[in-house]
Amino acid sequence: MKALKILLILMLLGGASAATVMYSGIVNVAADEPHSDIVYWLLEETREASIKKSAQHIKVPDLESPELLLMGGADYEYMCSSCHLKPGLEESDMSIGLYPQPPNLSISHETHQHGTDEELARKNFWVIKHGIKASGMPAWGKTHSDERIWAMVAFIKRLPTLTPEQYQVLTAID
Amino acid sequence: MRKDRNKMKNISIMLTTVSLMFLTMSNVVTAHTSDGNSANKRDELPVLTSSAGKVVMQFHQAIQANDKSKARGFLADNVIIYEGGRVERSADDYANHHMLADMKYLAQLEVKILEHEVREVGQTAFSMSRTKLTGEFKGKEVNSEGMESMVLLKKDGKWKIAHIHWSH
Amino acid sequence: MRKFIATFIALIISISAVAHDDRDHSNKDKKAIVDVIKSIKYGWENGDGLPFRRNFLDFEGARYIEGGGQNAGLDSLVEHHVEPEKDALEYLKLSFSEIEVHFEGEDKSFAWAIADTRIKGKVNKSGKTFDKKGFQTFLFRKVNGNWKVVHTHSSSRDNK
Repeated sequence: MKALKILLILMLLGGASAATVMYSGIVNVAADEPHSDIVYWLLEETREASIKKSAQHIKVPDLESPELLLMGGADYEYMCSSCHLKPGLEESDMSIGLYPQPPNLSISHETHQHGTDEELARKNFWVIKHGIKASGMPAWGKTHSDERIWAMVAFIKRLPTLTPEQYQVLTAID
Repeated sequence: MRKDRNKMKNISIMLTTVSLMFLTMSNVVTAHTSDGNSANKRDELPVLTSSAGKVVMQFHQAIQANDKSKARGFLADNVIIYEGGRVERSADDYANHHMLADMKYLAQLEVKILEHEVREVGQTAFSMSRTKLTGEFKGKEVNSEGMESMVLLKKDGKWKIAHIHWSH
Repeated sequence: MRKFIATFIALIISISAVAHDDRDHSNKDKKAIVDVIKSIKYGWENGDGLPFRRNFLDFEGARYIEGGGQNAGLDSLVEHHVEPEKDALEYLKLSFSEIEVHFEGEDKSFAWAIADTRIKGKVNKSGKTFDKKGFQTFLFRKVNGNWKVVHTHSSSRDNK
């Protein structure tokens, strides 16, 4: 009984503290004020672990077909390049202003990206389809079929290897 | 003394338990390895990233997708097509006759590109490709290699197919 | 008035001289290409690789297609196809007709030619004769003033 009373008091105190923090306005939500290192790390790790778990059973199709590259290229240019950049474009208003900063998909991240090609493809598919809460990354799955999303995954895989001229040819909508 | 020893024992048990917890919760980092399946696959990127090559690919896709108007759009009006012992001397001639048969045929088969090269020389380009066709058509098994040569010309900024020679 | 007429006549003469020169140039190139095609005919009929070595541009990736197969590179074409036919066939008669030549590019340094073909021959080993008709595509590039073959594609069927 005593233990239950202590637990209830602790819960009430916890709730009151949370409400105080919430309504006092002391939490800085400005996108131009980065999180502290520890908060950033916590959020990053939580996000990566969540995506990995959610994507683990996704079956990756053949991503080498030219049809996918053509379809994905056009969609990437229209839907993704303003935030995730492209060969020859090192920054944009969106890439500078968004927090967390959208990853630059036009450059290779091999040195610090972990996982096999298949794991990366699964992760990219899941992120494009479902988006990420409170990040600016939309859930494209609400408006685009799985086939179109896989086409974007296929294109993103090849994107770091393209020159600006190759990118222009591949993404041009005739 | 006994109390100290018990205290130390409890601390080491706690530390071991916490360490084990972290180990089971942490993500296993795997080395970045290349996809073994892609080792033997043809890389279409060099063709796709040449504007003439992209037109050839899109023409192929339009034929396979049964998109008559899109396929016709890639042909020069006065295209000359050699196929199956016949010659067609205009895009409309091909589009209204043999193209439909080609589309019907390819819709039933799996088409695999074995080789494809495109060379652009200023306002002209030529494409050479070899494909493997497998499947069944009208109850007969198909397993053949097809050869294709094309001449493309760039007019008003757009590549158009001026000549096709198909054989198998 | 006289000055005006004289200038106008001079202008007409100079324009027609240039046009005539262009046509001459185009006829000259067409004749050069037809001559190359004739030498290829000779090469096939006699199992002689020399016309091919002289008139083909050898480069990495060169392909010469015949029906459902191809020769990769000039050496392969000459050594595995042209020259062996001298011993394999009792005779080979090849004709190119209805030759059309198209010149492309700003400097007209690229050309493609198409022709109807007729091939007759007899195989030594089996004694079988063949008579086929079909089509040929040639692609040319002008290199140092000479037309060189960069690609060929032929296809044929039994003549019925």
